[in-house]
Amino acid sequence: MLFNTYTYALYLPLVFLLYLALPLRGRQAMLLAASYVFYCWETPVYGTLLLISTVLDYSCGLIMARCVGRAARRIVLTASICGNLGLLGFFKYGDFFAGNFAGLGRLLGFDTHWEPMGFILPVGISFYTFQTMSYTIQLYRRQIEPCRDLLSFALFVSFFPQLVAGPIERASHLLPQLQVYHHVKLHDLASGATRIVFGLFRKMVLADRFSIIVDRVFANPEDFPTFTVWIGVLAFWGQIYFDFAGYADIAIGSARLFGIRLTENFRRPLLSRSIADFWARWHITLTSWLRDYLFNPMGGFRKGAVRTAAHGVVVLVLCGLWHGAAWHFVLWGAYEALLLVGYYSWRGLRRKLLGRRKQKDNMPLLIGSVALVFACHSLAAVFFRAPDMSVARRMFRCMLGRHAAAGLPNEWIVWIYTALLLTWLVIEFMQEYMGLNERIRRLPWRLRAFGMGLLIVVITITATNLTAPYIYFQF
Amino acid sequence: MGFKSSSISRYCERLLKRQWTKGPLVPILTGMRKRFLVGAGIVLTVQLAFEIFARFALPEVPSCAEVSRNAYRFRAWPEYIAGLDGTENTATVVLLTNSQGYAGEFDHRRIYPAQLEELMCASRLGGHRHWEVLNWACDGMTSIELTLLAAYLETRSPDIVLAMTGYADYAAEHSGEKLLYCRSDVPRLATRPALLKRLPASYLRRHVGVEDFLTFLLRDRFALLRYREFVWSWLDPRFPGIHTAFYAPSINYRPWELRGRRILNPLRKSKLTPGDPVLTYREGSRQMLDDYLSLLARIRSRVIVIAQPIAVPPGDPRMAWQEAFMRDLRDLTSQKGLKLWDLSGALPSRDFMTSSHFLPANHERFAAMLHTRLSREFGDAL
Repeated sequence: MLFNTYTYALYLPLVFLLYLALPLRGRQAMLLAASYVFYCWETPVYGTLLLISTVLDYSCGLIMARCVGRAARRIVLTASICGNLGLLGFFKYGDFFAGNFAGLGRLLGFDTHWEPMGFILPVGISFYTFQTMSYTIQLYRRQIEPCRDLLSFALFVSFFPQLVAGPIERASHLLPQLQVYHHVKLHDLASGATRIVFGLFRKMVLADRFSIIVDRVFANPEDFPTFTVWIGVLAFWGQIYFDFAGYADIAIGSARLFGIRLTENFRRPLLSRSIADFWARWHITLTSWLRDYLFNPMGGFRKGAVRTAAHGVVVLVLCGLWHGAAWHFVLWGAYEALLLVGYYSWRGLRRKLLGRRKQKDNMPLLIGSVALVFACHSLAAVFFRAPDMSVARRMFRCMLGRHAAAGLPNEWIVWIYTALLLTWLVIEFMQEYMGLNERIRRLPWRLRAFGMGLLIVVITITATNLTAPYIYFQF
Repeated sequence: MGFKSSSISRYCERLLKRQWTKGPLVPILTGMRKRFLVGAGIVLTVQLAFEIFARFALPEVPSCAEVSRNAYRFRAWPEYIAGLDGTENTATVVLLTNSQGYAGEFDHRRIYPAQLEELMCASRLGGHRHWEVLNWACDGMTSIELTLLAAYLETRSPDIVLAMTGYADYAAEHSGEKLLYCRSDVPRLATRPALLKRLPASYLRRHVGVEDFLTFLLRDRFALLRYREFVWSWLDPRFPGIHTAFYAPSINYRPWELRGRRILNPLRKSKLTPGDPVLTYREGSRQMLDDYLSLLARIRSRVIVIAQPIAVPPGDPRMAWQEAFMRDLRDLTSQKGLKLWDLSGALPSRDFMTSSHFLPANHERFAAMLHTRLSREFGDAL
């Protein structure tokens, strides 16, 4: 079930009303059932995978609790990780790895015949697999107590607002919230509903409108002038941000209705001042997962510059692969890693030359660095969006002015998209540096309610007719 | 078995103590949190105000007589039915057809429905001073829309219904598609209870999903949801603010694609490429055909099912599907007592643009052929 559908618009209030009426155990059972219905709405069979993942990690957790020695706990942890990554590997990467091995075999002269298995990727598998893995890892590190209540644990794995595209929650944060009775408060209701409306605006008005130009440009870049191709690339960066952040808004808002607070996943990443700053603002729950469970155990920043850079490259390439089983995602990860290594090298050099003096903030420098980071990530977006490497190559050729249609853009719509993107950047800038949110909060509440009503009308009349799935569902 | 009433009441008491007394509803009802209630009221009032505005501000939909303004031939529902009841001395032909009659490649005056209308008016067929041919052409997932239109026609009585059809209308590839895949807003019909009742169960299972149903239901009932096409249409330089809003409400309105010229440029050369497009007539297709013909059989007007002309090169796999389709069509029309005209090989293949789309010469020929056959079939009986 998608968030941007009428079905969800009916489903959520129904679940909420039932939630209000039930005691704690009833709520847990009802939310679990609601989560499975939500997940299995389109393809019921993949509910089985969710169940397997739940049972596997629940059992591992109980066994680990009985283990005394570190070695025994490590064996259980390994079993859990192998099971989770096995599921992920088989359904998500099976075809990719088998196809590449077969190709390699043919290159080496072996007769390797291979047919794709053709599984449809179970929605959200990367998200809930990482979430359940975080449970066993936290348990192994003795950061949490094992969950002995299967109902709570099953709900932790499948809680529907964040099931299919995050935020990837830690057991230490979400599980305790699911185990207590929440008195639904007016404040939660109001802020949850507001968050949902903002999420719908970002998804249906901004992301889906951007998708129109993006789809056209990436389908036939040669048909457009260079400027339009660039706008298409920048628009994709906008699209993926609004799409994913819109999803996160709706997820957080929906959970808030039940009194549950999910982790924030975005912190205005379009305004990142550096590459490192970007990774602290973008898809925060994934990057913190990778940092805590991959980068830091590998040595983190502690093993010298060269090894740190190598760890960064490995983590970001794997991050690319997490997004999709294709070489262009690997390249995207490698490109991001290069940017990050380049940034840290430059920062190190600057510190050597200028010392640790804090640089003074000034507006032109700020705007310049934001624009530079934005442009660097927009280039990365080509790898991210292109369905394969040949399209990425064509896009880069057209962006460089080769093979693209000549002349200035003649469609007014290009200018509208440019203006829309810049407007949103200005809004986020005001939120970040001029306290726009606080100013809005200080407005009379009647005016804010009127504004919310208007925003809903704006969504109604400016959203596309598409019920487009979220981009991050495919991961 | 069964609950004791005391245990139920105890449970209810517990329930009330837990949430309702401390939760939001009681404070709202007792006026302790008026702010929340008033805020929600303001939000709803804004919606209502815009809904009322949309209802009264939207202009009337132009009738199908003004199709010259409808360069894309996308029709909204009101436009489809305009003129259906006719006026005095005007007779009506409803042409249920697919992309062949939709013929988006050409100006509407050059395609056979308009030419048929001209011929019928000129010859005053049946003594009628004026004939109106309503081109209810659907492009895309045609059987979904055509079946709905056939169900709708059961309550109306045009003089003649011509149901042109080909095997691709029942392509197995479309059997799993839902209402939202349609390009017109005809699926709004499926949300009307009276019509919904008449639809076969197999059709409902195949094409009516929850989301589709809700989408069309709300779009049918709330003007504000239709208003978005109208608003966006103001940005269209060709027909600012008018019927573009209506003729394709269910299409994702893409101003990007509307640059003051047709999306489809006229094709000049014949393009008969074997195997293109791949729409197969196989298992499941017969059921779709059966559903459509069952509804046609219930229409009270004169209904003629016409196997539409096609041009398939010898040896093409489409020939086998066409043969299977024709077998089913003959079989089912005779079962249901429907009249069938087999015109599948009636036109020269050199004047086809694709296997089923005509070049202008065939549009002319086909109009003349239909006119002759209608005159012969009905003559003065009309």
